[in-house]
Order: sequence, then C-alpha cells, then structure tokens
Amino acid sequence: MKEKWKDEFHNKLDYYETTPPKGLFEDIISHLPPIKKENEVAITPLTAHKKQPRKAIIWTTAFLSAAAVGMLLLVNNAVFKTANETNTKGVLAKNNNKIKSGTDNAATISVIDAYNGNIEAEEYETRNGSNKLTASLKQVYHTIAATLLPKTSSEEIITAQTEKADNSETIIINKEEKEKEETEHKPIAPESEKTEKPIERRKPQWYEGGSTTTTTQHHRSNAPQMGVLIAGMPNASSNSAFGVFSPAGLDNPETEVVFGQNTIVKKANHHQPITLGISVALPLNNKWSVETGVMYSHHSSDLVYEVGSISHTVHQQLNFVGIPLNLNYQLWQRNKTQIYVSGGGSVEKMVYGKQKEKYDGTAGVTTNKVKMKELQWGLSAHIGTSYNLTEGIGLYLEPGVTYHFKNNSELQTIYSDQPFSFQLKAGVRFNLK
Amino acid sequence: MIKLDEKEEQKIAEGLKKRDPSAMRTFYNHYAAIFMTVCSRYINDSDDVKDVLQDAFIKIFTKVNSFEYRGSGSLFAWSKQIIVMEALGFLRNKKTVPLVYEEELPEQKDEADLSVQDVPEEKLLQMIQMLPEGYRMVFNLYVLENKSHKEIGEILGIREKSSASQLSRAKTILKQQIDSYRKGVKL
Repeated sequence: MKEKWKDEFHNKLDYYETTPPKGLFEDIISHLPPIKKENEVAITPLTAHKKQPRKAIIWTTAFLSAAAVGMLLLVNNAVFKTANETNTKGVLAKNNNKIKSGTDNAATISVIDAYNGNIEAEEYETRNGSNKLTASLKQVYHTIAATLLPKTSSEEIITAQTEKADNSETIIINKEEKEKEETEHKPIAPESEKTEKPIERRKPQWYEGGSTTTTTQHHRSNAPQMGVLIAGMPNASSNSAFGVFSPAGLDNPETEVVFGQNTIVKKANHHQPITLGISVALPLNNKWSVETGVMYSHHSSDLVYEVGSISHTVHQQLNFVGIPLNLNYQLWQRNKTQIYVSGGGSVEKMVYGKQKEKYDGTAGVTTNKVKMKELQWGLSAHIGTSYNLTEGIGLYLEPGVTYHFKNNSELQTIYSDQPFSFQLKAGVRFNLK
Repeated sequence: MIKLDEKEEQKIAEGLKKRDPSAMRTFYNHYAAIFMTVCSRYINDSDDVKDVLQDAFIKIFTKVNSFEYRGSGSLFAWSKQIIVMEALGFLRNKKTVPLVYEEELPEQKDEADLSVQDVPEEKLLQMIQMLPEGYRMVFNLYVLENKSHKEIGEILGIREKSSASQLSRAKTILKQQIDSYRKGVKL
C-alpha cells in the first residue's frame, strides 16, 4: 500500500519497448564464442570455489605443524640442557644448531650435531660482532621464520644456516661484553645478581641445577619485558543465501517459481590473517604478569555474490591496529622452560580497508575504500610455553582460542564469520633490566 | 511484447541451449526491445547501451546451459537479470567518478507520493536517465527490480542506510522533474 507508486513505475516501464540499434543481432551472432567455451564459462566460478577447502586444509596443517615444530624445538633444548655439560659457548652453539634444525623443518637433532655446532661456534669466534641488539633481533627473526615458514628450496636453507652461524658468533662475544658491563656498571644491583654472574661464567652447568630456578625466575618475574610477536588464525569460509533477486516485470504469480534460481548466494573465503605486534610485559609478582602492547593485523578475504550463474567478486583487504591486555600466570618452570596461561582481551580499530570488485565477465576491476567506525572487541585465552635463549631473551609460543564480539559493522570479516577461532602466537621477549 | 506461452518459451530455451539460430532470432525478436529499455534505465549513453546489450546477449546465449526452466516467465526473468547485472558491471567499471557516494546524505522526507500515471513512458525513462548514476542504480534496483536496501547494499557494496538515503534523493529529483514536466506540458 505504502509503495503504490512503485507499481505505477512497473506498469509504465516493465514492458516498455525501445528500438534496439540496427544490426545488433548480427553483431551478437558474430561475437558469439564457439560452442566449446560454453561449459568452461559456466564452470569457472564453481571450480574457483572448490579450491578453497583444499587451501584451508593446507594452511591449517601448516599452522599446526608450525606449532608442533615449535614445541619440539623447546623440548629438545630442554633435554640438551640437562644432558650436555659445556661452557657458555657450547650452550650458544646448541642454539645455533637448534635454529638449523628448525630451518630444515625436521626438528630433530642428534648429540653429535650439537658438538659439531660447538666446533662451528669456536671457528666463528674470531670474527667481530657488530651490534648486540641487531644480532639478537636477527637471530630471533630467523628462529621465528624458521619455525613458522617452511623453507622449500635448498638454497634458502644454506643461506639461513650461514646467517645463523654469523649471528651466534656475535652473540657469544657480545654476551661476554654484556656480562662485563653488568658487573661493572651496576654497582647498586641486588646482591643476588652480583654474586650469580661470576659463578655463571665459571660454571655454566650450574644453570642446569635446581638452584638456577631462582636466577631465571628472578629475571622473568622482576624485570619488565619487551617483545615482538607474530600471530595467526586459520582461514575461514562461509556460504549463505541471503535474499532473492526478484525478477521484476512479471506480475503473474507463477513468477514465484523463478525465485529459487535467483537466490543470491554469498560466499566468503577469509584468508589467514597475519598479526604482528610489539608487547610489553610488567611483572606483578613471581607468578603473575600483565602484558599489553600494539598489534597490527592484515586481513584478506574473497567475497563472492552469486545470482544464478552470474557472480560479483570482491577482494577485501582490511588493516587493524589493536591493543591487547593479557594477564599471564606461570604454571610450571624448569630450567629455562616455562609453561603459563594467559587470558585477556583486546580492542582493535580498522584503520584502512579497501575492496576490489569485479563483475563476472567484465575485465575491469574497481577499487573502493571501506570504513569501519565500530571498534572490534575480543577475548582470548592461551596456554604458553617460553624458553629463555639467553638470560635476557626468551622465545615463546602460545596456542589458544579467541572470541571476537559482534560489532554491528556492515563489513563482513573473519571475526564476524568465525567469532570463535584458534590462534597461535609466537614471539620473543627481551628483559628490559 | 507478445507474451510467449509456456510451451513456446520452453522450446526457445531448449533451442538456445543447442545454439539454434532460429531460437536465438526468436528470443531476440521477443525481448530485445524490452531489454533495450532495461539497459537504458541504467545507462544513458546510447553507444554504451548497445555495447552492454550486446555483451549481455552473448552472455545469455553462452550461459543458457546453466539455466533451468522453472515455469512461465522464467527464461525472461533469468535473462533480464543478466542484462541488469551486465549494466551494473559496466557502470562499475567505467571508472569515472565514484558511482555511489558513501557519505551519509542528510535525511530527506520520503516523498511517498510519486504518481507517474500521467507521465508518458518515454519521458519517464528520460527522467530516470537524467539522475546521477549512483542514484539511478539505487532507484532502478529498489523500484524496478524490487530489491531491498539490504540487498542493494550487498550488490553495490554500500551501506544499507546509504542506499535508503540515495533512493530518497533520487525520488526528490524525480518529483521535481515530474512537477516541472506537468507545469510545462499541461496547460
């Protein structure tokens, strides 16, 4: 009733005829592709979608294996700590080896290899190290990269190994310098620290003993930490019919029959989002710490709207900047390995987003900017394991789950399609004191 | 248009699937003039209309295998949809100015009364063609394609609210045009 005026438009224009241009039919026939191509055209959008689940499986598997590799690396190192009595250099050489094994994506390491690593480290010792921080960061980067990104070509492996060797050597030298600095420039440092350092230099195996706990715990619990992290979620897809493209121009009730064919099917394939971040952890006491920071996430999705055999595809890219706030509680600690739980929330703002749209059969692509005024709130729970590479640097891996709240934005995101998801975080923490 | 009966339509659909030239000719003769209007509602340049119509017909003839006959009028409805999608795709790809402005337009009083009974079809089509492209797309989809603002938002990649405010803008402009037409033509 309210929209009676619409009927008037329908009556006027639905069957109104205007003369088509001369020769149009002939042009159509002359441009008609040969009959063979028919099937290809019709099948294209379908095959494009069939690939997605396979992709999803590959990424999920890659992610889970990365998690497994990470865990193995940590376990391996813990084992070596107790089995192998060497000096500080030896310990570092093992780190060197550990990275190599990660690079090879095998995550297995023999004792012989560990000793070989020791020799390698000694060989490189004569070289000069340049920058302590750069070296540490490089090593951290390569460790994460080696853990998370499976290398395929043998060339890449060789490069990675050479670099690892270089890095470990700089750290060996720099570690000694650091120790010197610490003892010289920190006269007001707590007594425990003062006494522990020289002992550690002379008798590194002391680390392996039960009393080490106090040292490492002291560093972890009382020193604020800064870190860098990388996190990811598995990709997700959704498929929904949300409306009908009602064919206008047919007033008879039989038209209803047509509707099923004209249902708009919305398919979304969200690729694995990648999150990079910087974190700061402040200890509350021996067991508890608060961690916050800044995160950047890049999301990429393919959205397809299909009406009958016609499709409209949108490639969407969204960039979020967020602030997490987590509370960590240490469950278990032995030597340099710790297991803890972490829970908290985060708030994210979509800072830049765009959509590239393409209509089926047309060559051009249009790009539009998209906005999301609403903030994206989320909750998360992780179980984390961390391993202290050196006194001041620790690697960690946190598998867990996240939940993202509905934020009433009209943009379709991985958060809106899959609010509850698995997440894997990996990173490195540096002691600031 | 002389309405095809169910048998005839079904026969044409089968003919099109076989690429039968006479079926294609019959189909064209029946629907080309209506599709010409449909295309012209979205696109105001006659050369562009011809190109879009040609591409849409080619698409109809090549994709007809995926069409399932589901009763009287289904071939027409299916084909018309291809025409609409092709026209929308063309406008999107033209890359001139943004088609649909995303900014919130000031709320307008929705003019429920937009009677066009006394306006000749030809004039009405011209008036629609004179609307800015974005308004024209929303207006056509909402009024003549019977789509909801939510669906328009999904199709054009705009917000539901944006679609509603553009429709009311389009209606305001049309009302002005209709009023001036009445003043000018009616004595």
